[in-house]
Amino acid sequence: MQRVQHGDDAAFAELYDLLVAVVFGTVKRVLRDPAMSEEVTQEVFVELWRTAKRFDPERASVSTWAVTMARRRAVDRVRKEQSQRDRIERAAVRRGDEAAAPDEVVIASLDAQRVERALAELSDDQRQVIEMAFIDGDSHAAIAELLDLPLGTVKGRVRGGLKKLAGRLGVEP
Amino acid sequence: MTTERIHELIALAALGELTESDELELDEAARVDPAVGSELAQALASAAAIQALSAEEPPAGLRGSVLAAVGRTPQEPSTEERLSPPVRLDDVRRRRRWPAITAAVAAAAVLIVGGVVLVSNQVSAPDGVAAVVDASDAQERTLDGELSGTLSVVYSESEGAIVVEGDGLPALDESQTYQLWLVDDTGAASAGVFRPDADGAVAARFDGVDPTGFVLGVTAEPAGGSDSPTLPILASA
Repeated sequence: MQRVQHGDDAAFAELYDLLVAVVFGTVKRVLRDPAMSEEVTQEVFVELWRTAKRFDPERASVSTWAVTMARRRAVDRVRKEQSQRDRIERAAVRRGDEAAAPDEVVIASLDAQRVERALAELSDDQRQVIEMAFIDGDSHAAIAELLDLPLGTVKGRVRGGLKKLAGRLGVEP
Repeated sequence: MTTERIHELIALAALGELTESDELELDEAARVDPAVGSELAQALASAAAIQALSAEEPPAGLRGSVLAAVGRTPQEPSTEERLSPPVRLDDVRRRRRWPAITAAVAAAAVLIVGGVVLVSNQVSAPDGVAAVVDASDAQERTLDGELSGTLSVVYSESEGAIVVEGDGLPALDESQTYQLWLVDDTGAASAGVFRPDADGAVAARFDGVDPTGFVLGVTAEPAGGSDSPTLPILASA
């Protein structure tokens, strides 16, 4: 990362190889559309390059920084592209599809198993919301609508669930 | 800020759903209370860990186009390297509050994001102005008010800059300058000063200014600009 911060584009190519799957996966969960997901993934990497000098390793790991930006840019694109209504309808349809294509989710590493175990330790209410938010890629408004919950309750469960996960995963600030 | 509001902002940050003003609010909360920053960092790391479960390789062709795009893109300077770093909320707070302008722009909200720009920055190369105006993400806001002529502000996120464009503006004598302010309900901060030419035309670029979420206001100030706006606001958007 330090080499990237000094404008080394070969180092950036290595960073791309390391991060592209999580960035693309994060974006695609939110957007669904593969072509649009490619576009946004490119935007994210250009932004990571452009703003690399402002990256502060004390505040986040490189992968957290990249995934956070990927989520944000994907959400921005959703806001641009489609109404909330469409989102909710598509999310509802998708939930039916999901069971048919479980192998779409790549869970390979030991880290993934740790995350899965930590998710399993959440309360049912928290886990449902956390999975919809971060595996299905739904917005908090879509989750509230699908589960018929107040927006504040959904945000509360997202925050509470993440806090509990941080404890289980031992993530460093 | 209430604990509830902070928790809400942390959830929205993890979801990628913060607005720009939310983001400033959260930055400020994290600055005031390091525990907030720590919880935010942990929440983002947890959210990233879950989202990494969905990792998926994109088509191989993307690599080439990303690296080509990166090759065409200059890196932005680090925060320390900037000549005029963005003004942080605490800097704004340290300045004298200026309640009158809040009244003047009623519903508007003021923090500032843009740097305080030196007069010399106004003289930008025509290329720099065109890069903002012609950017694919350029957004224009037209300012209205008692000022005659036309005045607009074009913002490009990709350029990280605004351009002030005007025509037929009233001339000012040497002792005065126009000053552009970003205003919200906590105050006003300078985005820069500018002077029209003999024909009343101006095209000035100010880097590091993001006017999103702010009311824009223009005042006449003593040459060199002021720390806070002098009423009346001649034009706003």
